[in-house]
Amino acid sequence: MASDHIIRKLAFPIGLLLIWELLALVIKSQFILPDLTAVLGVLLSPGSDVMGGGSLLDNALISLQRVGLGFLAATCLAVPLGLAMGRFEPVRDALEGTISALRPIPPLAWVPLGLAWLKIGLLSMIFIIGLGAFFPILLSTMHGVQGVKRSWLEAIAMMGADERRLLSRVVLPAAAPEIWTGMRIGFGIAWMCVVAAEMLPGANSGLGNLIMYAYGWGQIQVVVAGMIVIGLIGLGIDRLFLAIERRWFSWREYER
Amino acid sequence: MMLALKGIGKDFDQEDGGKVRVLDGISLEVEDDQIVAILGPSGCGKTTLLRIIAGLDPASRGEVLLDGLRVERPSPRVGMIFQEHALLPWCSIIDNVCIGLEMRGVAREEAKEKAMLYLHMVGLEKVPDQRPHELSGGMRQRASVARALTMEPALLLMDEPFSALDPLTRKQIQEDILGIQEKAGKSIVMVTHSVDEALFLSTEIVVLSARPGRICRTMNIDLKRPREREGPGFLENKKEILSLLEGLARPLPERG
Amino acid sequence: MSCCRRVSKDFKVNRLISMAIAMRTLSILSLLVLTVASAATALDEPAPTDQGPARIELVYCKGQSLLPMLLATNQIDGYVAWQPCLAIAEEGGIGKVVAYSQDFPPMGTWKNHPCCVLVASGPLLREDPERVSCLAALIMISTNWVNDNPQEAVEISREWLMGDRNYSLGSTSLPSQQVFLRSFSTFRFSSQPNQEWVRSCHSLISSMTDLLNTTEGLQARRLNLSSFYDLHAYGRAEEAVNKTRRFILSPRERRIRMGYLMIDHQAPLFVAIRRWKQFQEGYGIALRPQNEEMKRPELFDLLVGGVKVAEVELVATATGQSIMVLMEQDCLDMGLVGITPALGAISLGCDAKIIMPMQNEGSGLVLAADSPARDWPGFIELAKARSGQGRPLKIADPDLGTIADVLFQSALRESGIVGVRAG
Repeated sequence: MASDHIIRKLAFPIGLLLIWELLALVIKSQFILPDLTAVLGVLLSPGSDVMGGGSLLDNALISLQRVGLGFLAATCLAVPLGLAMGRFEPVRDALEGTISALRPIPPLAWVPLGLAWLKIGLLSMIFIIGLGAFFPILLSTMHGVQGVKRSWLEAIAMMGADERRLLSRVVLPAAAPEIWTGMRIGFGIAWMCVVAAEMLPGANSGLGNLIMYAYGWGQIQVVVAGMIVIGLIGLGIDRLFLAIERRWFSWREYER
Repeated sequence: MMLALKGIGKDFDQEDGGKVRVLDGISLEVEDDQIVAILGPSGCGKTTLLRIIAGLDPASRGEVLLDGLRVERPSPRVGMIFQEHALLPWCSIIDNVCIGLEMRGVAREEAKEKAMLYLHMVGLEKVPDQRPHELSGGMRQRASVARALTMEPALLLMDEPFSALDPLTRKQIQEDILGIQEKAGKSIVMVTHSVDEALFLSTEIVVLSARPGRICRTMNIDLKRPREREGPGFLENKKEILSLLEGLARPLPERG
Repeated sequence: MSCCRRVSKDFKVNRLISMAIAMRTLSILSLLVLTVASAATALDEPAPTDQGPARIELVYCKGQSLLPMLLATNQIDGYVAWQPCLAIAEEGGIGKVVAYSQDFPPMGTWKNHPCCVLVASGPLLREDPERVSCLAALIMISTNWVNDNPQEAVEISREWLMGDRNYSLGSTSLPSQQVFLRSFSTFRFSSQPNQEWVRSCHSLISSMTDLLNTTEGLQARRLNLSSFYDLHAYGRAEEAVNKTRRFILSPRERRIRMGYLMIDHQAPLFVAIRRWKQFQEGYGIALRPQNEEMKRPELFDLLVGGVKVAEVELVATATGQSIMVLMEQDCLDMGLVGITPALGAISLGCDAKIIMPMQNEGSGLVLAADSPARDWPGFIELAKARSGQGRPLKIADPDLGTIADVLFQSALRESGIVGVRAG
């Protein structure tokens, strides 16, 4: 039943909120656990300035802008490279070692170099965020391309398709669901990177920055509200990716 | 149309560095309006031979000539129907059928018209906008026939096209193929495991020996159409072929 | 085996074509990335305006560590900071101080302005005001000693903060001795909350109210301006130091956790630690390290008249704000902090009070060594000129709400310049 389903989905979150309020009452310190009403107060007036640090809304938009650009840059580089690596073995052999070596380095470890090379500003941010999104997208693309069914390629080749046509008509659409999944994961990582990068020197705005700033003034309810906003945005965008996946790539289920 | 195989041989590289000879000295001629069925024990290279004719794999020795021109790569001159339908799952049926024409540069409307013609021929005019996974196995194979026919190839190749279908559907589609072949006047070279099918459809049966595959026997089938599957001529031929195949399946006696 | 091998192996010509296509696609996409990048850089730059008030760009850096490097690499035109960051620029030859904070406009308002102060949490003040006074007395004694023995104080500070190390600016090494000598000469130590000091506090409070929208906080709590500080402990400390009255301490020992900052403004604390024997003999109050072997001890016995009255734990933190937050979270009881974090936190509801001044002045504005401006009016002229050209000056700032920032921003306002946040 639909209502049963809704109850099940909401029960746990509501339970958490109740426990929160109870704990806040017990702890009685706004600096250790702010109460629900304080946090809600911040959330319900997202346009009001926080101690000169900008409003929740403004900072959220700035963070979104950063993550959007970084993600775009990462996709533009990772998809074609993944295509090349998936399709042509010499390319894969040449690059795989280097990529595997670079992948484990957390994007935030690149911040000092990023600041040194690209100076303080949007570009260094995009670099860090792009790094975060780059590897999942690259690997998913490569994997998706490698997994394209041979019979599809042969069937279309029989109709006189050259390599270019095969790429656009078969390889890309066949690999698309996996590329999309890679993009979804990549975006999640990029979003985490943006918030973390904003907490480091070099950023003057954004949700991460706002959180650290509010903490400096002991405004923990702003910190919590900021965290909730970060979580909700991440959730929303993830759901968006999934919705599009359901719409465009439902054929994938029948091919397993 | 004239397909000529001249001394086709094929070797595969083994893991330990040696070569295994899969086909040896296959020579054959196929003319207009013929249906040639290739039979033989498992592993005799039937599918390999078909793929060489299609241009998907290169021959190690000999050549394939289609109307005097060498076949070295897949081309729209030859159409192929695969064992698993190999329809693109993200395209609708009509898009699948049109794809060859579109790649050739034919305008969309024109291509669609032509595709509908052939869909009509295979009895799928009612489902052009559905996706492959929404159709039954038999319908999918029909669609792949329509796709191959739309390119109007000189020659149709079929690789065990109906083995994945249930017996009733298989019978029905065999009859349909016969009808289409008569209407369209194409030549067909098909690989099958089913002696019944070969006898029902073909004008000539080629039996290959076990590895390395050599032409063991060619038989002209002059039975009048429509052929009765229980008729005397039918059963006689069937007996002959079956005993031949049995003999081939047994290991060769030691050379004295 | 993937199909690509099977199908494209025969397409030798196609292989070349496909590589060419790949190259072409890659270059198109690199162009795309570059476009995105330049769009990003363009978005970064504030739009040039010819109308409206002149602007400068403020780059907040979450601390002072990056500032000299940014100036040296020409990413900024200058920075505001507190010592020793100003001395580093001068010593390294990369910048010059065009104005110290006490000279920021409006003229005279900031003379002797507070910088570092001693704060104590509300609970501790209510429970044990005498012990607070003890520590205040110790700091007072130490502050006077620093004023009487500046050279030694410099050396003690240097040793505490830097040990054997020198400051490095890229590949140049700056001897910390020189830096500290220069730095010390630009500020004053004083534990007297005189009229000037009090007036400065009030001016700071109204500046901060403007800058940081803390009006709500102030109004909501109907805070009296004098509720920011409690000078009772100061009075007691003065009495004890002048030997007009002794401390009356409850016998129960307690632990007092005090936060401090690793800057030379807090020299009195380091002196009190390193010269504890001298203070013991001379004044009867001392902070004896429990473990003398440690380079920077953390646990101490507070001795009054030879008797241990408290255990003191010293915690070094990165910013004054962290100390205030830690006090709010009941992790610290006292602290040596900058005045603006203290004022800000208290106005937002932190249960703490400013006890006593310790050090005044000591911030300033540094511009690049070759900058045409030589003083504040020159700086303003330069700022206006550059703003008019659409290339506003880039001034870095340690953090919003620090003493240097508050003074700088209110001085900018006074001079008719708008500070715009970059990035």
